[in-house]
Parts: sequence; structure tokens; C-alpha cells
Amino acid sequence: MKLNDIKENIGLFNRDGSQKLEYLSNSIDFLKNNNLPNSKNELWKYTSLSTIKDIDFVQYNDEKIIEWSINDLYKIKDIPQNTSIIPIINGRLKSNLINIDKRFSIFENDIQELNQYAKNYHPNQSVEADNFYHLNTVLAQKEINLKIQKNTDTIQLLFLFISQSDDNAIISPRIRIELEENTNVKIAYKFINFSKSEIFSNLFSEIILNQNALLDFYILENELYNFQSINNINIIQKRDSKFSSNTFTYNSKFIRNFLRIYLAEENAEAQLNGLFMGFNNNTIDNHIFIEHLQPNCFSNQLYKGILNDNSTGIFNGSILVHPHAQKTNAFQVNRNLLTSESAKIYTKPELEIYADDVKCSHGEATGLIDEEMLFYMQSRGISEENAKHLLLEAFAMDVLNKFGWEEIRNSLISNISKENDYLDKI
Amino acid sequence: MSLLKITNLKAGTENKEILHGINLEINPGEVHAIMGPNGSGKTTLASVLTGKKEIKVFDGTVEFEGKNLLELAPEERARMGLFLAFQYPVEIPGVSNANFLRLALNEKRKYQGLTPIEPAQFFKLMREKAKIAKMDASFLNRGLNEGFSGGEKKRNEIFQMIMLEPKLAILDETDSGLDIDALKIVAEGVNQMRDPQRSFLIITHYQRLLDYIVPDFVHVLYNGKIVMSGNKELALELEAKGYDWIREEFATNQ
Repeated sequence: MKLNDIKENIGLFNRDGSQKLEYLSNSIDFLKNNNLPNSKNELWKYTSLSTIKDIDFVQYNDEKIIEWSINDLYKIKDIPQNTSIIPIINGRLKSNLINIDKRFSIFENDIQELNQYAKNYHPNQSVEADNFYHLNTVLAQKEINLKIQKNTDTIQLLFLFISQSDDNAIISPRIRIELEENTNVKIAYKFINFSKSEIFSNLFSEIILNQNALLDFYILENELYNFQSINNINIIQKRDSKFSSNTFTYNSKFIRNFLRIYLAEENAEAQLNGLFMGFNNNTIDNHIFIEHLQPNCFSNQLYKGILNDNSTGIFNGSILVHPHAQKTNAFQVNRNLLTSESAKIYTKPELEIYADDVKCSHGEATGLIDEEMLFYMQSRGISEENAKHLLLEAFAMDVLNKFGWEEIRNSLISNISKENDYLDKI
Repeated sequence: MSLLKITNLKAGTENKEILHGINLEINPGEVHAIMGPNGSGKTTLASVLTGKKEIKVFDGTVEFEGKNLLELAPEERARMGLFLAFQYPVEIPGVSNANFLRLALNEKRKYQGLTPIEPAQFFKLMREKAKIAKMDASFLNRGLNEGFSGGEKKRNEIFQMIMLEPKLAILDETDSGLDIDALKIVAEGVNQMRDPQRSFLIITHYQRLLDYIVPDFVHVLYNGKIVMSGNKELALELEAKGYDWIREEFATNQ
């Protein structure tokens, strides 16, 4: 099956009878009636599917039989200790590798319908207008459901998405997370690929923060070469909830992270941090849509990119403030460094504001490594190479310092430090 | 042997010669001042000595301790003991003063065949030397020149000079934009560093700084050439007569 032919073929995907729900057939209809998005579609203007759409994939839902032990998982690079690992192999929960913990429950169930907040308001930005959400709905066999029990304080969980396949495969992880009231949680999505074949991971996730829930969330995507991925993630925030997301993308072939944040009740806060570094022919796309639905909410975006070689970066930060959402504070900053002549960045702020008592701002800047700064450091005896490294590190640290999960932050910082080669390829 | 020997140096930007044949010799321990009106080529001279890419050399030679300076990268010149206090030091957010200086110092030590300085020893040294330049210790962990006032930036240049102990320090209009108190701090820093083995090249528009740093030699740079040389009295004469005197005297040379 090629994505390019999905319109013709999607009808062939049937599920067992228990799940013949109306919205499932809606998704099939959507895919039958809509072409794959191309550059004419505003939300895909600069993100080309050319590296994905012609690959002949098999639908892959089953966990491969691999002899993993829990201890093996903790040996993987950059895995924080004191963290419960939730292994998802080829999109399916590997529950026998999870340590039981009363503070959370995790299980697979049938695909559930989209949360009401994520569908009612802005139809164009909603996943309901997104081919890949519908594709996930059709292809995902099960939904993985994580629930954090009420009043749970400081728990750390890491979803380890492992792909392993001999064939070119589409995998469709579908994760639903609910933080009950008064919880304080750190959750990371980390992707690793053990396949030699081409993998296309099409994830959909819905995360609900109930009243006074606090979630520090991480997306860790490094060195994914024959693994291309689209992550559609909806976050629904209730009263007094605080969400921070921290995205780290490094040298991966094709990544599209689309975070949609619904500030659905008063006094909710969302802080979105992102650092992306492109190499070779990487395409790294970060789309953000923040919907301010109620008064007194806060959102802030800080995304920085370093683009090398022939890589392409896309940053699209959208803020929508509803008429009712007075006293909104919504800010956005995107800064990029281009370190080669053929690297590209497309950055676009979109602010749609219908309330009058708000504070909103955005700032976008893209530049080259500053020659004056390099010369200043060289004139003190620092080599050009080291001077460049210092400048890149300073640029990146500005974002990494905002990452609150100390173990993850430190391991990312050590990746870009002088002893490792993350920045030396530039 | 002289420390710095400039012979018939012609240099400028890609399309324009600015220095039309400079000759200057500086021996160890000497303090030279170069004065001149705006546009005479003072900053170009400082830039060519430190190896700024944009400045092209068309003719002439520059020797530093007998070595051809012009073929060395800026960082190699610095490690050999050349230092420029910039007229407009850049701000480098996110790179702390302390980290920057430690790296610079260690690069120099490596060049000299020494081991890197121990962090504790470095911080002790840094705190000691910061006092001389009247730098608040809290500045040291901040981004390099980040949010510094003009005077703070100049003091930071002097502080770096004290830390790196160069053989030749070039001060490019370090006095410009400084009030009298800051000027005294800068002069004090330089005077404490004066040493029979260390030389200074002080580039300035005004005579004022030379009240505090007394030069052995004063040169007047005009239209890309050194048109007069003398002792400290020349600076006073210039101050009294103004640069128009030079302009009239050497107008025919244009």
C-alpha cells in the first residue's frame, strides 16, 4: 500500500466487528474523499511528503516477538532512571514489560472518539481535517490508555516507541492519557528504530489534563534515519492545569510534530519549548496550534532551530484567542540559525485574536553565525571551531535550560557538549 | 629584537586602500600612542594587526617577535601574546564571561606547553584580577558583555587583558565614551600591567587618556600615514592646536 493510493485502498481495511463505529466510517470516508495534502494546502505548504508517499508499506500492528527484558530497556541511551518505561512495540503495548505501579493504570482498549474540545471550534486546524489523524483512526487496532490516579505527585513515565520490522511498515500508535485532578507528572515520548526497512510512524495522541494537573511532556527524536514520523498530539487543559512540552529533534529524516493545545477552562497555562537541528536532507516540521477558549490563560512558545546541509525546517505557530477569552497572555518566539547555504527554514506566526483585553506577541528571526562574535572570540585565542561551538551551544542552551526534567536535560546537554559530536558536524 | 615591526604596510578594504605605507617599530616595555582625526585609519591599523578577515593587506610586512604576523590566524596571534581591546566589544549572550575566559586562557597555556588551569585556581585568579578592573564578581557568570553599559564593556576588555597577560596590548579608542572615573580605572589597569617585557599601543582620538597613561612615543596618523612622531609633548601640542593644524600642514599630501 502506498499513501499515494490510499483513496482507492482504504476501504480494504476492515476491523473486527466489535468496533464498527460511526466515526470509524467517517474516517474511511474522509480518506476516500480527500487527496493526500500537498503544497496547496496551507498547513502543508512547506512540508513535502515526497519521501513517504511512494513507499510500498505493509500495515503493521502486531508486536514483533522480541526477547526484551525490563533491564534491557534501561540500557538504551538517554533513558532516565527512576522512570517507569512503557514499551510500545510497533504501535502495540508490551504490558508484560511494565512494572506495576498503583499510581497509574495502563491498558489497551478500543479506539475512542475524539474529545469534544478538539473538534468543535476551529475546523481547519482540528485533527478532523487532517488525513493522518483519520489514517491513524483506521489503521490503529487498539488505543493505549494511560490514566494517572488523582493526587499522584511527581511520577515519571517514558513511552518507548520501538519499531522493528523486516518490511517497509506503517505503524499507528494511538495513545490516550488522562491526568486526574491534582497530579504532577513527567511523561516522555521517545522513539527508537531497529529496522533496516522504511518505517512510517503515524501517531495520534490525546492528553487530558484535569483540574490542577501538571504535566511536563517530552518528545525525543534523535537520529531516526529510515524512520519517518508524524505526531498529531491534542492536549486538552482544564482549570488551573499546567502543561509544558519540550521537543528535541536531531538529525532525523522526516518529522512532523503537530501539537494542538486547547485551553478549555480558566487559568490554564501552556509553555512549549522546542529545539530542532537538521542535517543532510532532513525535514523537521513543528506545527503548533493553541486555542485560547477561556479567560485568564497563558501560553508561551519558544522554538529554536539550527539547520545544516540541505535540511529544511518548518515552524508554524498559531494562536487563536476566542472573543470570550479576555486577559489572555499568549507569546511566541522562533529563532533559527542557518549554517549552510542550502539549508532552509520556513517560519510563520499566525495570530487570530477576537478578544480585546489580551497581551499577545510574536518574534521570528533567522540568521547566520555572527562573524563579529566569532572574530571577538578568536582575537582572544579561541579557535574558530571552538568559537563556533560556543555560539551554537549558547543558542541551543537557551531552550534546553527550560527543560525541567533534569536527567533528560543533562543527557541532551551532554549530547551537544564538546565531548560529543552533535555540534561538530556543523 | 623589536617586539613589533611594521614596514611599509598598505592595507584597506577590498576596494579601498586606507593605510598607505605605515612604518612603526615597538620594543619590549614601550608605550606608543597613535593619535589622529576620525577616518585617518586608526581602527584599520588595529584590525590588520589582529587579523580581521575584511581587511586586506596590499603591501608591506608585519613582524611580531620576528615572525610574519600577517600569515597567522587571529587566534594564533592572540596565543603568541597579541591583545586588542576593542572599540566596540560585541555582546555574546549565553556564553558566560567565565567560560569564555577560561577557554581563552587554556588555549594560550596549551600554546605555551602548559596544562589547563584547575577550575578552582582559575576562579581565584579571576576574582583577584576582577578587583583591579573594578569588575563586580557577579558579572563574571553573566553572558559575555550581555547588557553591559559602554563603560562596563571597556572595563571588561581591560579585565580580559589583565587575565591574558599579553606581550602587546592594543587599546582601540578604549577611552571613547568613558567618564573620568572609568577612564581612571582603565588607566590604572594598564599602568599596573606596565612591565619591561610588555608593550602597549594606545590608539586614541583625544589626549585625555595620555594624562593617565604616559606614553614613551606619540605618533600622528593622518590619511593612512604616520606624519609625525615625537614624545608625550606632541600629544599636548596636538591637544592645544587641534587636528586642523595637521590637516593644514599635510594637506598637500592628500
